[in-house]
Amino acid sequence: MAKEYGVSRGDEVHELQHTHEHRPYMTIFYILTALTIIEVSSTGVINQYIGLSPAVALPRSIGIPFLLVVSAIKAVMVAMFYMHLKYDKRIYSVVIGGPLIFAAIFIVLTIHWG
Amino acid sequence: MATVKQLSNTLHDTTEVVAGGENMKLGMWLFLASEVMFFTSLIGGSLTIRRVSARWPEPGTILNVPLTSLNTFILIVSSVTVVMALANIQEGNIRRFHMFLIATLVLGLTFLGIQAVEYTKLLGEGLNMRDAITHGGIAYPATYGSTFFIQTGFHGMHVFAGVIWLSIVLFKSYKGVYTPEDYLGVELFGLYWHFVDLVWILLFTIVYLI
Repeated sequence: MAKEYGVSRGDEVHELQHTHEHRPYMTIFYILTALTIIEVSSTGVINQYIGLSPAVALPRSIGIPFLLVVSAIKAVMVAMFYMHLKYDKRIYSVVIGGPLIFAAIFIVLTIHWG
Repeated sequence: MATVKQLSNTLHDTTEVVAGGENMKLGMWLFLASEVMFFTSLIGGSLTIRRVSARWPEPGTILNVPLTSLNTFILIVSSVTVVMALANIQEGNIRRFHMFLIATLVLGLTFLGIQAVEYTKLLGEGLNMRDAITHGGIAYPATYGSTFFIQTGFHGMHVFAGVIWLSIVLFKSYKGVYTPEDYLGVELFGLYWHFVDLVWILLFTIVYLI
């Protein structure tokens, strides 16, 4: 039984214990890779390399919000699972969550009304 | 009495060490929060410049999206290797811990190498921070080059700093500094590296795909 997700020092006070089988690192990696492929494919940029017509792509009006949402999902997955926010102390989520939410609002507003 | 006092001292020391580690992690998260604001200002400023520009290249017109997609994949893989390095030091698998750290270093250097190739090619094609660029008979403003290099360049500097930090972590790991009971240095580096990956995920979409 390997310990993880607790504090780095003082094994005596590790709060959470998980087995390696519960770590979703590779699953997250596959999802991130798949989402990246979907993102790039949706723009039609790589169509010429895979023998598709450049017209086979999401229209920009749908494509831009779609890309922003997918990249935000990817970023959240990295923060939650690789940076262990899902398992670590809530205070860390609060510290980073505030600026991230502000950043998301700021960027969306800039794209729409900048 | 002596035993009770010893136990008390041990508990006190342990608490101090844990608190110190927790404080350092909190400090790291605060630093990353400030980095979020830093990159948000860069991205927001660039988007604003884009909005007021008469012309802006469509995705893939000037920038090499397939090459950068490969670089994005490399950075995602490096996030996996970092987290696997942390998992292995927690378990006491020193050999695998070293192996994953070295893999991360190689991937980080590969990312920087590909970015250097990309920059060299783009500069050769006339994209820089000063001049307007003409592509396919269409002139694009100089701000396209400056916003591109500012955003990706600052991110590249973060990767470079991460590679240096990782080199130090790797050196210390071979000196036996990290153990299954004390791996805070690896964890802090991991947080930074994942953040750099997280920022690239957003930058790749905003700079290259939209």
